Amino acid sequence: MVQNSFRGCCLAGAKGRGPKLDRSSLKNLYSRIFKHKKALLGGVVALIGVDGLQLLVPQIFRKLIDALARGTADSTLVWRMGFSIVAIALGMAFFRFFWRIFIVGASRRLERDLRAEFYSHLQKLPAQYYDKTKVGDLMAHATNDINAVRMAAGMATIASFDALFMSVASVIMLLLIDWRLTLITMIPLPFITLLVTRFGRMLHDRFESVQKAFSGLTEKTQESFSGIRVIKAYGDEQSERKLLSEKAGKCVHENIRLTRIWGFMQPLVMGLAMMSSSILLMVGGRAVIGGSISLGQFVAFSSYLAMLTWPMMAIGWVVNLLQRGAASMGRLEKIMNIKPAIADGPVSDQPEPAIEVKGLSYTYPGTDAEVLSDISFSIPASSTVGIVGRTGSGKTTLVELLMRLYDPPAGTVFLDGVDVRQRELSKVRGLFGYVPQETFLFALSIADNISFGVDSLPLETVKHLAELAEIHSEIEGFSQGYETMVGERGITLSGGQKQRIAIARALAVSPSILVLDDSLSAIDTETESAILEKLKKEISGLTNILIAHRISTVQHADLILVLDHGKLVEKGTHTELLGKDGYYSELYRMQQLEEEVEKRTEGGDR
Amino acid sequence: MPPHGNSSFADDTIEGKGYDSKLVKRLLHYVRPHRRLIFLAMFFMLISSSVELLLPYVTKQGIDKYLARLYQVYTDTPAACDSLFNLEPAEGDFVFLSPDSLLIRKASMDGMDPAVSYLISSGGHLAQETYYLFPADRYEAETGRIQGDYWLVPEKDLGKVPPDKLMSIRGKDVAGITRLALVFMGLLLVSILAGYGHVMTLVVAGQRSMYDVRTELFNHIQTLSLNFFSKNPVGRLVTRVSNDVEALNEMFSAVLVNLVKDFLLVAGTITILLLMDWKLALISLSVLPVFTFISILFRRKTRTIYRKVRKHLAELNSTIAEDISGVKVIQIFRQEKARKQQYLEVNDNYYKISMKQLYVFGVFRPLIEVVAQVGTAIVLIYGGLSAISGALTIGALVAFISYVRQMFRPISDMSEKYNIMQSAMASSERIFNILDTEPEVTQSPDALPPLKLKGEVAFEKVDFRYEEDTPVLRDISFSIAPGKSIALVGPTGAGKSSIISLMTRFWDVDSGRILLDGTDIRDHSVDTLKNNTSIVLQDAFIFSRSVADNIRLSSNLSMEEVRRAADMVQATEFIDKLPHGFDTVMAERGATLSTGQKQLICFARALAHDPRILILDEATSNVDPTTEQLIQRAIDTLMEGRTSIIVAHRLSTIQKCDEILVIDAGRILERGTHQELLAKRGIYYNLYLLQWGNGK
Repeated sequence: MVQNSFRGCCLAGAKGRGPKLDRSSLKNLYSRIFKHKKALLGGVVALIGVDGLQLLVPQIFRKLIDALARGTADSTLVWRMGFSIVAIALGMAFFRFFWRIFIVGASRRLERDLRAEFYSHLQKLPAQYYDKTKVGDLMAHATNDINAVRMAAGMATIASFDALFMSVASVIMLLLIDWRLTLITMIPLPFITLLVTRFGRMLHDRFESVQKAFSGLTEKTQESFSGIRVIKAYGDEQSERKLLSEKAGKCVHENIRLTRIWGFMQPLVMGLAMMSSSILLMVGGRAVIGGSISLGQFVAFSSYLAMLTWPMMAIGWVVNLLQRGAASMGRLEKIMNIKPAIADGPVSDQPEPAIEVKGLSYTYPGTDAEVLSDISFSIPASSTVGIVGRTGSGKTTLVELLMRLYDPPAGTVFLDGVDVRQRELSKVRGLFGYVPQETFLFALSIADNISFGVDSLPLETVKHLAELAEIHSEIEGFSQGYETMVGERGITLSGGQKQRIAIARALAVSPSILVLDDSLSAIDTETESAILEKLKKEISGLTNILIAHRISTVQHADLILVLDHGKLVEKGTHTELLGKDGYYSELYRMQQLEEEVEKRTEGGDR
Repeated sequence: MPPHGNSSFADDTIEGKGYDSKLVKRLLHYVRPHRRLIFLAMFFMLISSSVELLLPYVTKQGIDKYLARLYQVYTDTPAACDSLFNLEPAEGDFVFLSPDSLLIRKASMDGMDPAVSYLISSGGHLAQETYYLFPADRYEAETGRIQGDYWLVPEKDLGKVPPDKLMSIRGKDVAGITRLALVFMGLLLVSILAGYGHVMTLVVAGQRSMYDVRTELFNHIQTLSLNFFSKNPVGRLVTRVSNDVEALNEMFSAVLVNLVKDFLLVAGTITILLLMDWKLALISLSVLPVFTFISILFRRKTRTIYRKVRKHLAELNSTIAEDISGVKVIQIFRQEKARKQQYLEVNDNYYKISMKQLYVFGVFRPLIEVVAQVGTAIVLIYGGLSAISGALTIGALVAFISYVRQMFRPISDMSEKYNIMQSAMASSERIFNILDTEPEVTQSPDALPPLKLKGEVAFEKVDFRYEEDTPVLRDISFSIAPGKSIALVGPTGAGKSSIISLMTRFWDVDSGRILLDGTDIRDHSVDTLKNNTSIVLQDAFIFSRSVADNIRLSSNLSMEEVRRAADMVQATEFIDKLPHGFDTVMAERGATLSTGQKQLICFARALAHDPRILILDEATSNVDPTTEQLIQRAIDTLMEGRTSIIVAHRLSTIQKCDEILVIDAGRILERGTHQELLAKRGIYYNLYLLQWGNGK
């Protein structure tokens, strides 16, 4: 039998539940389980071995007790029975080992494969999917849902076969002893199944509430401690205290609510099982007195009856596990059925870095508002283009469309004369070196972060790139230099440092077009112009697209685009645009004064 | 950076003692207020575990007393029989067959007074054959013999009596077993209710105690100085309040609920076994040391491997979280394959370690079971042999087997509880460490009563350092007349923010003084400070409460006052556009608001508190020009008529201040108005000049 921690099993698993089994998801779940049919078969055989042997134990008791009661027992019989028990125990241990390895092992493999499949699918999903999905939600799928599927595949499979075999076999053994007695004593048992199914679900829900209350408490604590300076400055401790007490009180309340069911269920299941035993004592005792069954049979009967308790619980439990597993499978499928929206085009030749945008309008799928409307411009190879505009004016969307992170409408964006949608995706993206607005570095060493886009890079090259990005000397200053780890287990970099490493990373792929999306914002103007200067000098023929808030970043560009609410409102060189009394010249005036002071006094303080 | 989901237990080791009397003593302090509940719980537990212990014994009684009511014939001299009869242990145990022969109930031999059993064994003759005893008038010659008033049926011939007749002549036995079964059911009901009561009362007591620990801990942390917060990352402190207290709770619900009960069950079982037959008891307990040893070994092995599994799982999760967050970068750099390879590797490592865990379970779980079964076999063999010799009744043997089988579970559970105890001890130690930390900045016992200040601020030769040997501020002196303003200008790390922190008494000075209205800041009441100053920090901190409550904080400002404050910083326009206006509850950290909007709310907050002294750490973030103008105007409104200390970045703000301090490396290098400093042609002038030189 497999009754390990019943409580744990009831409570573990994914969040949410379908009140009804989702047939197609369940089918899918089964087809995944049956992929491992060899292990499954081996496991079930071993399981039947365990159960079969287990059924023998009461027979031994019966034999011995009857022999004792009739006075026919002798020491050889006693010794034989004793050794049989040990032999059965060894046999059971042997089979137990195998069912666990076979079935649980199969569920672990299923889990591993599912994780791999889910991961590779996530990689293929377009950027727009990630815009509307929270990382936390996807993580919940990757952890809870996959766990629930594993539990359904492993524990639920074992428990259902075990319960099936054990209950059928035990009932047969009971019937063989006395069928009337069997029917009467079994009356309380189905209630166990009912109890576990019904309350198991409630238990699960309440457990969820406990977890929710707990994370509410954690969030509140997090907020209070993060805002401690404000709280102290305004003397707001009292109201924080009150809010925390509320959250902590909620935790207490939910835990007690959970216990109300949990604390009741265990004794009740036990009680129902024992109720069977007391019926046996009354009715079966009568039968022994009346001589219709022997005392040994009575004892054996009571053992078999006890064996029925677990399968009765297991049935209820399995139902819940399968429900949860199917619901989780359904959620995972929903994600895995999303088609990767951006596909390769047929044109596979290497394009020149010349971009032409004709009448580009763009609306994010599933939304109404146009983010870009009717934009046209061209970027000849080896030129530098600056894009300015307020937050939300569509600058980032524009460059992301150029790189086909999103799909532009057909016939609007051309690369070297061919619609980007007609080109092979890797050829398009291969042209670009991109430094995104929010600098994202991986938890790798600095060297590995710089050489992220290429297979491997000699350290000399990495250093050279870091020099171009004006970060080399700072990296050298770290105790582990280029091997310094980034992120939690390593160093905390400042915004400016991160941005410059990201610039080196973009240069590492030897791009034809370098896109800097407000990537110099945390770098002071002096360093900024040094970087831009170096790029111009060292990399000949590089096409640059610079998105910026600061005029100083774009003022030397061959072409400056000014976006406002998705429209291209101004276009020209720095001098041309200053001549017009538009957004650009207004921005210029405002920034002139402040920029230098900020630079001098701040130096990249974040 | 990617959210590493499992960072919270990174610093939480669970090594160490499983029991520490000092810690437990302190913990008990929190339990004491709920001691009535605990006593009640113990009472319930006592009932439910005694019932649990009693049940196999009830079955034994049923078998011996009613199902197998067997007698043996004892013959001796009439005088000896007479004197033995006077020692009858219980009604019906001894029956006179004839003056020189007694019937002795077989079941009563068990646990009989040693003096009586000595008399029996040393005196006359006890026949081995066992009989059922029925009244002589029911005799119908199926089997057995009549002797005196009784019809004796040999045990092995009972089957020869027709069943219906058996039922009627054994009516007493049937009634007896029925009665017993009813008692059994009654006990069961009591046991269910007591079991429920036990769990409920203990959980309630535990939850309430943990609530007390949690709120006390939180309140204590709030009183600690900022120095403490700068040394301890927020994540760690959160873990103390949430997870560490939860570990205590776990100890409460898992350990106290079950450990005591398990212990009682094992002790009770052993006692019952010893009372029933001490020799058999000792022999059947012989496997216990082996069993305990293997259980402990298993727990130790699983613990180490469990830790590895957790580590690998955390790595797996953080990898996927990182790659989800960085998916755009991966796609642009075409690194899908390489990252996937890496993920598959991590995934495979996790699979391998979890399989290893599976093997540990696969070997140990069955092994533990085998040892338990060997225990059963020993009882069976020794008990069986004793039963043959008549030293043990069948019912006792059955009871013995059930008791021994019952005993193993709590023992194997107890070793599991040890792990929980260990981590709870570690958690409580961490909690008490925090509770033992004293706040560094405290209100002096003879502080002045809360005052309304005019707003005069003076720093006199202030030195300050966060750590030994690294002075942050050196010899800082300046003063501001009520209603005047001062701008602090200088590079990062110059010490501007430290000046602000000292002003609010987040820290205390190392030497020198800070005077408010001529009185040392340390002699003022904490309330004076809070009622007269408002601080706006660079990081606009928004709480997840309604907008109005964010402005109000702990003060009891009316809705009109809140609205007026928002009006004055021109924040009403966007606030009214929120779904519920001022009642809109903010997302965590005000996530749905733009940076500029958050700043405006913070300005409204400061304004609403109408401080005499305004402390402002101007933010440098890039906001669009419209918001920029709003913020600029809001700052002007705020400064109006208040003593202001501003870490300034905008030239427009700097120019407006009555005095400018240029600070570098913790010293004041230049001071004066904008015009004066320009005329001085020093650092400030260079800053100012550079900006004009570059632009053109």
